[in-house]
Amino acid sequence: MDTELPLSRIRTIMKSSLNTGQITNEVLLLMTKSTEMFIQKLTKEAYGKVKDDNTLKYKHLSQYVQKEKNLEFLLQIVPAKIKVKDFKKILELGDVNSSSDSEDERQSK
Amino acid sequence: MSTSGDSQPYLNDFMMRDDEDGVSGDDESDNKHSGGNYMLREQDRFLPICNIIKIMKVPVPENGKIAKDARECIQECVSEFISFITSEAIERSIAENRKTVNGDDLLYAFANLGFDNYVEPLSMYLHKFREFTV
Repeated sequence: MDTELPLSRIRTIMKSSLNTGQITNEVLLLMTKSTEMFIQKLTKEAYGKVKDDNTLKYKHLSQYVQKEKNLEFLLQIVPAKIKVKDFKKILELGDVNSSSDSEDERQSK
Repeated sequence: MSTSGDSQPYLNDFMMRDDEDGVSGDDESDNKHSGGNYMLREQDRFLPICNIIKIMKVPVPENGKIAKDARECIQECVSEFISFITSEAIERSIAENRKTVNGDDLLYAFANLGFDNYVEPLSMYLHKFREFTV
């Protein structure tokens, strides 16, 4: 039942998300195991998008995250890369519609 | 890499926490700056990158490489993943009037959040764990 990840750190991250009281071993181990699965799955699927140079890059991850429904919670962390040219277009559109809220967020990234 | 050396502390950690269900002894000690807001140090927000890379290398073929931006991105995603699932599991335990989150809450959270393919391997893992500790 050994894991590749430090349990204490996982516990800390879990505790930070809400005021949880106790985190039992059962929960901690399960979370650790699933985190391992998550890393492998994400890497594997994103690597499937690698084309020529055998190197997994950010853009592959973001491509994968954009299209998976259950990874919606990562969209803010892994926004799609866009060209400055396109971004300016979005900004202009935003000005016209005066709904630039979401665009502002992206700008700060 | 010091694989064998690394696994030892985790094992100890695991052993130490064995009696946790009953007592709330040293568990609160890492909550020293409580007083409501539990501040997380920057270096504690993420899992160590070397552990993550080790796991990332498993599905990547031998001639494959992982760029720095991809590593760091995954590192952030992982912390987000843990918080995301934990929040859902906590909500379910609260809905059922329990103070402590259990393994089934976690499984429920996975199923509920669209990670159905995690449920089966994890419930097998949970089963094994419960057998192991009884």
